[in-house]
Amino acid sequence: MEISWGMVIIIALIVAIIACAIASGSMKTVHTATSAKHYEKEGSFSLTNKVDNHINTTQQRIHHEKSTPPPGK
Amino acid sequence: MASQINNYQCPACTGPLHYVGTSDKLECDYCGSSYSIPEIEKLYAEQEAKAKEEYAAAQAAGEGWDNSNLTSWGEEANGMKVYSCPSCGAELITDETTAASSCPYCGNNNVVPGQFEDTLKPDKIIPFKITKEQAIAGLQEHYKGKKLLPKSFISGNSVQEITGVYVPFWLFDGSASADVQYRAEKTHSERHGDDEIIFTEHWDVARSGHAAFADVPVDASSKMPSGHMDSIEPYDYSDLRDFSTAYLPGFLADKYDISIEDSASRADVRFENTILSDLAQTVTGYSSVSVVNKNVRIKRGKVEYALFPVWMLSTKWNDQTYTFAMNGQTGKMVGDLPIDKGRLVGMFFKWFIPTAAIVAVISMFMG
Repeated sequence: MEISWGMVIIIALIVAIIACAIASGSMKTVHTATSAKHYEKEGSFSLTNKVDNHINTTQQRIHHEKSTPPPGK
Repeated sequence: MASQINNYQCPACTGPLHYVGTSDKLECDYCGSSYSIPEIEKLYAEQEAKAKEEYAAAQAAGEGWDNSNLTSWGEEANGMKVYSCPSCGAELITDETTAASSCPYCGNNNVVPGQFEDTLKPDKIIPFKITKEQAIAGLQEHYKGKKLLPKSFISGNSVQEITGVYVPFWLFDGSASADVQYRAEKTHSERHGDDEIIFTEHWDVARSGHAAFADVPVDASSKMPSGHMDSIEPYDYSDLRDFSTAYLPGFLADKYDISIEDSASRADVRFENTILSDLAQTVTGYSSVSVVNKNVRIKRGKVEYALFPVWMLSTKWNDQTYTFAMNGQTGKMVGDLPIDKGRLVGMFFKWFIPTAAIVAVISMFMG
């Protein structure tokens, strides 16, 4: 049984960085208001135009080599 | 002029009255009497009318003070306001934007004369609901659960200053319309033997819409940190009342020194971001969306002038001052806190080591 140590370190690093970022973020509570959502009159938002036009579809083919067992196994 | 109302004194004992949010009354600390706002307003209106008559009669009889030999402050008066405490007579100086204060000699709560005359008078006010004790307790609550806060910040500092301030706000009404074009993509993949084919659909998307806003607040005092004022929103507008100076005693009050014109752009940005966000939420079902072009039109509406209650607290730690603001109506507290770097490193390894061990065990079992 083999352990991919590179993968272990990367996953642990990501989890630790996210935890630290959340904790650091909780120390900053002062920010500039950028939205007025709380003050939007109820039911005042109206969508007056809605268009979804399909232009084209592109394809990308990716060839995956069949995994072959390493020699000697 | 003798008739100017400067403070509110208890009709029973002449002690100073101050507004108490929990009872919604003006209360006297000396004799314990309490009065509703309409009661006091009516009483003082009568007293003011009477004083005006007496003053006019005294002037007509030649009994007025001779102040011809007094000199003015001249240029020194720029940015200052001088007034006499109506309780003890002390001459007090405040800056020109302070509208309510307390006398350092007798502790009487004063409304600075003339600060709300004419166009400067606010339309609305939200009275204080949170007491000073609740505000101090709120700061301790603000520290709770902050794992990166230095221990010495909690143990080694105390509230240096706490002030209840009525902060001036402009309340902007308006509406926003926008036309936005997006470029969007949908992707899906199919497997054919050893080949994977990724299909990407390209779409042109357009949305137009309109939204209306009411009473978007923008603080109008340069003395107040805007970030703090933004962060303690929202206020509950069901408590908005017609302005009366009777709510001011016991607190500081500022009048605006940032004009409507200078504040309007901050409201405009909020209108624009909100309509763009509303429209973006209607673009669904795509794996990626980006804005190609947008056209936003802001229509400005009515503006009102209001005073909102704020507790400003400051603490000192490591020679640095930390400022906190609490919404005096809802109790929402904000203020940035220092980070202990040692604790940050400790937290990193506290997560890194167990996570690494768990992932290693899982990968071992999965082969």
